[in-house]
Amino acid sequence: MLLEVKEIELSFSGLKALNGVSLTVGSEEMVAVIGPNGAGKTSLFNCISGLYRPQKGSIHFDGRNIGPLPPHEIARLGVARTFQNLALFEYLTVLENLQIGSHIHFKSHWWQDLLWARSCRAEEVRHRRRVEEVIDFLDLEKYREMPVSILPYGVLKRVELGRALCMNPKLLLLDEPAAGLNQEATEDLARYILDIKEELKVGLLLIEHDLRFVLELADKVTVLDFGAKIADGLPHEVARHPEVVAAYSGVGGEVGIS
Amino acid sequence: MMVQPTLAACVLAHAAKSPTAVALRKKKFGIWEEITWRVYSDHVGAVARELLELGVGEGDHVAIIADNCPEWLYVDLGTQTIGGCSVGIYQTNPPADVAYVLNHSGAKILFCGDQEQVDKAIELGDTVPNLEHIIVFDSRGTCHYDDPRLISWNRFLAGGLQFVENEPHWFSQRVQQMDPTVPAMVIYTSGTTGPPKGAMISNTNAMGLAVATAEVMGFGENDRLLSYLPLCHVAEKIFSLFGPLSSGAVVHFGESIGTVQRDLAEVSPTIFLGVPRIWERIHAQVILKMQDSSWLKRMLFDYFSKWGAKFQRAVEEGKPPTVQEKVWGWVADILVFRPLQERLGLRDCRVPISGAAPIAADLIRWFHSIGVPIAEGFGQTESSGVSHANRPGEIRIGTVGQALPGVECCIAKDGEILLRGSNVFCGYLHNEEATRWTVDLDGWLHTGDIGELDADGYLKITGRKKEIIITAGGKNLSPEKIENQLKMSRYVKEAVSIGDSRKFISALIQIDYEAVSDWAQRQNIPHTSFADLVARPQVFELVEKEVRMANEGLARVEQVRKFKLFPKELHQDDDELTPTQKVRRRKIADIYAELIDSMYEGRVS
Repeated sequence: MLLEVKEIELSFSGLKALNGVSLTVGSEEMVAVIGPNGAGKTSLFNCISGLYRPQKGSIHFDGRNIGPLPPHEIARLGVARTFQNLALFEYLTVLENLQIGSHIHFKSHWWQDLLWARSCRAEEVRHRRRVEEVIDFLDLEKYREMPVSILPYGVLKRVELGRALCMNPKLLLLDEPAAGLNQEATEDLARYILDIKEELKVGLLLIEHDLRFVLELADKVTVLDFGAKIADGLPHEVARHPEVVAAYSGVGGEVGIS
Repeated sequence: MMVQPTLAACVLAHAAKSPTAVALRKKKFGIWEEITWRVYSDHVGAVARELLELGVGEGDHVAIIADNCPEWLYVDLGTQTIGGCSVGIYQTNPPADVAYVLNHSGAKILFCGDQEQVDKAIELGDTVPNLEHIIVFDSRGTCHYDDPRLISWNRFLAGGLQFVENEPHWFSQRVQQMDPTVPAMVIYTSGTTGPPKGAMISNTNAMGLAVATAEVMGFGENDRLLSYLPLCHVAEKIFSLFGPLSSGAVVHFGESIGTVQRDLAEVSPTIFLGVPRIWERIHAQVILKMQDSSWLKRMLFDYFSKWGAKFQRAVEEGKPPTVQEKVWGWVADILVFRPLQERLGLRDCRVPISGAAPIAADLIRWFHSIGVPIAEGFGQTESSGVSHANRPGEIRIGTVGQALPGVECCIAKDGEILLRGSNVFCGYLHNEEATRWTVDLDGWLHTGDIGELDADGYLKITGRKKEIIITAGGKNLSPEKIENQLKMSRYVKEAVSIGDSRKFISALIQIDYEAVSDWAQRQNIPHTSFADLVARPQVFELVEKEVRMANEGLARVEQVRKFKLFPKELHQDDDELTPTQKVRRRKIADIYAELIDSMYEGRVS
């Protein structure tokens, strides 16, 4: 298993944000986490990426206990994420934003950079290549040199995804990638996400409100409510789960997954 | 280099003479990668070999639906090498139109650019019974597909490349055995009037034309071209295949359709073909960008573009420039025109060309006045793409120039332009009746266009024979002329003029969303969508002003007396535009009949 979350508990003084949540993600697997607002979905993400430290339970990534590690080391191990409200540098170009994503893997020392050593140059070229591959993958060529602030929202979502991909992740955490997108942009995004799973062999953990999006894309679904897991399993099983049906008032049946 | 009988022979000759010279460049991962003549030739040979292995024989058709890329050229030429015929399909065609071309040509093999096109082909299922293999250039996203017909480009090509390496003479022998007079390419006309017809072009057609255009435009090894218009259209074939192969010029493939402007600036082509829509767009953007620039730049631009226009008028009248004008011209070039041309990627462009559709003379004049001497040409698929062109340095604005060497031209009694020469095509595929209608027994090609020849042989096009408007007053008018005058405005993207059997001329106008939206923002007119913007009375007033301005350049009977705005953007999927973005006039007349009739009710204002 790529990611194994076991029985984690997180509370802020009296409030239990997560109460004994467990889940696993394999490589080349897409797991979706759904649930109403305040169910603890983003808290779960923050625990995995090291921003919050759960009081109980363990988180293993690639066989290693990442619970005690700081966020940047977890990122370096190969966990990348996107944010619900976008985390891009507005006044930098798309290219520069993506390069920042790749920055964490630079190995040269500052004094080598200062001397512009041969190894630095080679590394710079390698990283630029990586960034260009992501640009090609997400069809961002057209926007390469444009400052992020002037781009439409749908493109920003793609740049955000690209920034995460530039980190060369083994596991990608996507926090509501389709929120605020129209039908067409959502379909495009679904295509890219499937390609990431299949072509780049990356494991994906996804938070999403768009139930249809989740049920059609995910391999497994976990449902949270009030910090606790109320169901998990294959999409069509979860869609029929009485508590889920109650929460989403029959959307699952309507979706009619094959 | 000796004149070769076929396009494939040209590739071989270049590969033999200068194997390591650059033939093509492709921008990949942000870097322009070079492809040598040797690699070019090997790939064409490999494609030929593998197609033969897949059972493609003489007279068989191989279809291609992909954005422009080197692979497109390899497949086109490889197919011809073994006596087959390439068939290009517009990437924007909906599945039903793809099926029409596949079934009409009976193509056994379809090359797809990417997953999007593969999905279309698979969706067609049983409706294309002849289709045996689908080969995809970029296999991303298709690795889990289980259609047994699907092969990836790399898998398809691997054996062929190995074979060409082991048997280096096989390809050149095949090329020598080619019959240059048989059809080698089928080019489907875009079909403004009916279902598309497949025009068959032979290597003799292509090579005859290549030699003639090379002579007129001075094509050479140092020329750079950008391949960006659809390769299934004959115009792009001239500039990506015929011309470069006969001369050794380098063809560039940009990153995507969305990056044309940037690619243009990076490549800085020496020969550049733009369709009128492209030139209109460049013009509109320059005007728009100037509005946002500093007052100094704006002032300089205004002053010198006015000066340029005046100077241009003097040149057209045949006045030699005075010393003072020469000095001013130099100053204008340094201060304004050179930086502008560099921005547009047209600084090194020796031969900027407009073709494929009629363009407004005033637009060409504007480009001349900023130092981009656009030469208009004329042609059609049936004449292998071009029959007339303005020679650089001898341009007469408003005409499409003189006939190419080897092309005869005359005007029939009814005004129709007739052509004869080696560039006249081999006929329509599976449609002998249409062929007989188009090429008469004496070999004259009936173009369907009406025109006039002046004393020096410069041809002036006045309209399409089938589309001439005859007003209720009995006047013959050309709708294109009126529409192009309207489209000079940067706020007007598309215009359709109406007036056949009517008392006056009216027009349906589609606003340029980008330009009008920008204008509306400056005027603080809130809007959310295209439909919303069109509904604003201020927008109507804006267009009204533009129409009034356009009317000044038209004769009284041609003037647009009433107009309405299209409530939505015209689209190929709604049958309103052809794949080349030309309006389907008749369809428009049907779809918008009510809107049109509403303009003829009541009194003329």
